Amino acid sequence: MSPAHGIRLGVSLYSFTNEFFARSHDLKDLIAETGRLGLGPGLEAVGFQSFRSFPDVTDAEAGQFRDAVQAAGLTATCLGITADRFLRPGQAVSDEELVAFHARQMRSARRLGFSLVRFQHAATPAVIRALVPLAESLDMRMGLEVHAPLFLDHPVIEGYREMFEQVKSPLLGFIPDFGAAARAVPQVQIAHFREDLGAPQAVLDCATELWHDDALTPPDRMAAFADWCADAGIDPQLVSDISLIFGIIGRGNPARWSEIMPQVLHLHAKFYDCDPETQEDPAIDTAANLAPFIAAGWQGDLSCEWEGHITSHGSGFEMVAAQQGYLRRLLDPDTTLAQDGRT
Amino acid sequence: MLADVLIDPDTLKARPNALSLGLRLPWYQSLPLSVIRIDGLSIDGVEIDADRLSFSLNGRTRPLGDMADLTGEYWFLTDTMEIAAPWSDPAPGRAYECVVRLSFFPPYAETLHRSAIGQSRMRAA
Repeated sequence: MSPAHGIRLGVSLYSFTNEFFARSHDLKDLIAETGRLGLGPGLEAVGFQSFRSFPDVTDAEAGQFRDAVQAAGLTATCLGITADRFLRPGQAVSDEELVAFHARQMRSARRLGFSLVRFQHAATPAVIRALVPLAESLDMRMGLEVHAPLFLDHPVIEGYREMFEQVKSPLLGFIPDFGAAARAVPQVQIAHFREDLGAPQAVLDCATELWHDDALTPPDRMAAFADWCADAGIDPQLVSDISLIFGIIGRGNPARWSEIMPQVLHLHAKFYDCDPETQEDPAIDTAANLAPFIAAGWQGDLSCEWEGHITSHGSGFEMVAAQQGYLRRLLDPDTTLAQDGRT
Repeated sequence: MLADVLIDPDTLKARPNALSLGLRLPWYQSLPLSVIRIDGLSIDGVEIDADRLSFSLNGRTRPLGDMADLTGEYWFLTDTMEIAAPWSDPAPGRAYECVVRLSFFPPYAETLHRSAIGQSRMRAA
């Protein structure tokens, strides 16, 4: 019998990018609404999205955030930080500068009340390794987001796996993003390309077919798509817009999350849409992504992450509420079915 | 959807010998000014040279050419950046056709490059 899992639901404020960008909700409003709608208790944020004084968050801004989180009955779970190596396009900063840049963000994370940062693979294993002493002094865990177009067998991710094996720090680990193990291109994106950008159906068919071609790597799929469009005389801007699908959603096998299970620090339930009947995302098989973690009795926080703002002006709150209903059925089917009167 | 909101609606203003308009950063997070490029601004079909433009953000007004060196100053994503172009006899109440092209290079991804075009006919305040 599998050990009982301890997966706690939450949300990333990234899901509410539309509301924040539209200035209908400020940060305090987003946090309060998250609590009011019961979308926590876990609350994740992106440093450079939510905090004006990032990467060096002031005590005043940190205090306001902590107070708002507490008042809403939420818990700060994870803060997204960035690996800004190219502060001038085409010119890389040194590893030493990038270590210092991460250190500023990690200290800000601590001031804000987070004990986990989500870092980007562009940091490099050498930079993250150099930050372990700081992580220890801050008691701060550091999770590499495994995000499309990379998956577990990509050389970049393998480099981190090797470094983690060498360092053996419990503070280092992974944050699987379920969008790295998707089953289809989101139809909401296809509809956006067709209806808002005027993409011809033949172009969309080509892009979709290539996305499913497992004989090609993601960069090769993108290159093949660019070649096809060049031959067909397609507007380069449209080609660039559609090429998004090769970068932000991947074809990984969700069963393979079990390979890194002991080092998983946090989960990202990325999604784009919810079926009105089942609340299931047609593009990302959330059940298949979650199954290895349920089976292993994994303990930790899961953030719902709606990325529909790329193609829609819709409400992140409505989408997250729908996905969490679906997740509750996956995580606790007996209780949920009893509550629904369907036992 | 952020890609279709480059020009902040109803932000055209007649200034002394200039017109100004507001821009939004069409991205999910703040970015350092050093990775932002204003590739072009035209008003009523007249292309304005970039070296004659200024921008106002974070409480300061500076020449557009200063942006490339501002690696430590950010455009917060809910802020409106105002850009101003020299213009003879700007007329409050008159409508102008404005077209802006903007590019940005998120600093955490070497090859990532996004661009946006905003077009709006606005009446100057």
